[in-house]
Amino acid sequence: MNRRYALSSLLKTGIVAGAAAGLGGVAGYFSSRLVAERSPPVKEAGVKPIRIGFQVHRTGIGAPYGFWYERVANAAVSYINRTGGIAGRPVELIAEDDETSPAKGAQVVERLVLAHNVDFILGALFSDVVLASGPRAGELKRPYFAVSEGTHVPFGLLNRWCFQPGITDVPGQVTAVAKWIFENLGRRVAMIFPDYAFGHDHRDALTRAAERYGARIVEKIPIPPGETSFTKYFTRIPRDIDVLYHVMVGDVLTFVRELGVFLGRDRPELFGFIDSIEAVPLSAPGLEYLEGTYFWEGFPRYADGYDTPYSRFYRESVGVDENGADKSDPSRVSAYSHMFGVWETLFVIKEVVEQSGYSEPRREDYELFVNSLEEMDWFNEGLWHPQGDKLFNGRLHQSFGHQFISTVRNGRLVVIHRTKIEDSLYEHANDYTKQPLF
Amino acid sequence: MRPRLSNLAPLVIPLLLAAAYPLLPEYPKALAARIMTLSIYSYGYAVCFHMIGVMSLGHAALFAAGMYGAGLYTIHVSPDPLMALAAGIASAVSLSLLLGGLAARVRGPYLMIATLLASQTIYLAALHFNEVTGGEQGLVLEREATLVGVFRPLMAEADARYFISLLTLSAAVAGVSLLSASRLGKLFLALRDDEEKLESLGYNTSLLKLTAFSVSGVLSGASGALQALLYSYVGAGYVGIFNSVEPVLWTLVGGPYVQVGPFLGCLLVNVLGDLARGLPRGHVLVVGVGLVAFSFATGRLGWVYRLLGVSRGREE
Repeated sequence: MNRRYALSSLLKTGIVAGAAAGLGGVAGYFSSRLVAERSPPVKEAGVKPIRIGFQVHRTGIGAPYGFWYERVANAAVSYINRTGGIAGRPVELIAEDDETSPAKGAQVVERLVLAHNVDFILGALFSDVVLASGPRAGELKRPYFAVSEGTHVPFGLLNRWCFQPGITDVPGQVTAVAKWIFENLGRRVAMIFPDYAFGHDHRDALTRAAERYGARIVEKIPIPPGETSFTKYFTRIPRDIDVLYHVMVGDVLTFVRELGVFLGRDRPELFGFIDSIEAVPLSAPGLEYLEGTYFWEGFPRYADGYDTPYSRFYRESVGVDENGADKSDPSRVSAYSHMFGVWETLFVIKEVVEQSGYSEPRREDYELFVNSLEEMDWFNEGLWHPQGDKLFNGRLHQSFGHQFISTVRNGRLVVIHRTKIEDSLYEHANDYTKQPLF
Repeated sequence: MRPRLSNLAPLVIPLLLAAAYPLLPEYPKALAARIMTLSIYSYGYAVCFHMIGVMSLGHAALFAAGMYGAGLYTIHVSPDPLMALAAGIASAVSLSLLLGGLAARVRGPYLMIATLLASQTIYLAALHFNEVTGGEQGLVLEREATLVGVFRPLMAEADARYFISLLTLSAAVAGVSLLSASRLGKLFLALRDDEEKLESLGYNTSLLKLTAFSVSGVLSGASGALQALLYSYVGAGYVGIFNSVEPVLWTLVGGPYVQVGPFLGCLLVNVLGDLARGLPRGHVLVVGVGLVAFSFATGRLGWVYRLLGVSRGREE
């Protein structure tokens, strides 16, 4: 080794590292500048806004949902600010893209809490993002509100800081609609579901409901994630069933086309979850086969499905037309069965802040906030809860509500039944209130 | 040829990071901890990429082996995080021997495809055996069983996370620096520069490749295990093809200087990405263009690095 090189290598590497640190410093400086510049000025002098962080799927696989979640969040915040804010304080929404990735989602939680010091976090839809983010929110002691339907909140996979008051969960939904299915469509059921957590939640919930109501699940057909052709699985569908229950398994257009070819006109009743055709227009080619089949809807896509003053106001506020599509672009169908959860969650935050006297992110205030939320047991239907009233279980941190059952008639969804809240209740041993808050 | 103290000069990086700790605001601190954990993976990748000149597109499999090894050990065997770390590293090393075996048989573009397929196999397996791995949704680890959980009585979790990452990164930097100065490191470079010549001199090149891959496995696996044990989550979201491509980007951006490049590249890419996070749509494009411009610049700026005396390993 060259002597000069050996002598000076320490110094030189030091220079490189120093330069790198300098570069990092410059980047950090601009980062903080950027953060500072983006925060809009406080609307009323002297009143500190309530800052709500929003982890949003702007890019990645969840982007079609994220677009609507963000639209609804902005609409709700704008309405809240027009009508006096939360406890008289304006609301500031700080939205950041999580790329629908668990790694980035957890990082966004850190950013929202540590860089923006938000009061609350409005969380994500996709289960993997929620599961990776929940532990971070719990450690950073910031309430995290999932709008996900997943079982991770009610079944105790997360922690005391994670809530899901704005949307019902899969077991609740399945328990409610299963009763209707068994009573109206038949008691011999085969089910097709995606072979991952979301599908397993459906499988387990439907199996339990079948035991409760004396129905039989004669065949359970899991479809591996990423599958592009389904006919080979259809051969397992028994001939003598009353109902084929299907949940999002992949590309819905291919699924329905192949199902149509396989079953033909002599088909059992079909019951599906809207998730497979959420944000997809029913006029898409190949979906004609769905005519006369049944779907669960969280909140009816077509305005006449649940026409109340509240639901009309909500639909107007989020810019969705009578057919569930974007007012400015009728070809863009909304995620109507899920996105109301964002609206309702923001109003739950408003209600609990106002009742608990929460004022800023510190221990005493969060104790008040979390205890008040856990003591809640009911949210009334209204402008704040346009989808319907909800029963809230403070031990599970989960809401239970009404579900809609629709049938496809003339290429549109027509609501034929609205389930009762009692129908969706189930037992679970989880109790978040036993965990220490700090 | 014997390693000297001056070979440890790159340890300046962790020293600077330790010195910067009291100065950093909270979020940059958390981000730095994340980047340190990831940059260990970056070093692991660079051992294959820069030292033996093998471009793998399957390193996410090694990261994943570390992550699942540690996570599943914690859940099913015992909540002892140090043993879990060891389990993670062990499973990554055993998988790296498989990848190394591939590297000993095929070369160039064929190897890239072979490693890519190997990591996709792991990814699909993680999805398929979702009753065990949690599939796409993943699994949450008990907080008490994680490394930060163990340190909780002593210090705040954020501090624990920072210093554990820093400590492991220091070990990785020291290890890689010493390795590149050692006889084995020189053999790696010779392997990169002319495999046939080295073989004709009587060296067992397959064994060398296996060794390099297992070193790479230790580092990548440690990074994956730390990911599980510091952030209490394991999931298939870390195993996709993008996670194999990321370290390629880091090492390319960081430049061909194995002692410091992997860290600098990882730092730069992640800081840029983080800066763009709050921006509206299209930020991905901005970051992409910035990175492409930068990788052109590092190619052009080779003389700056030479001036600064960072070794590329050819100066002998």
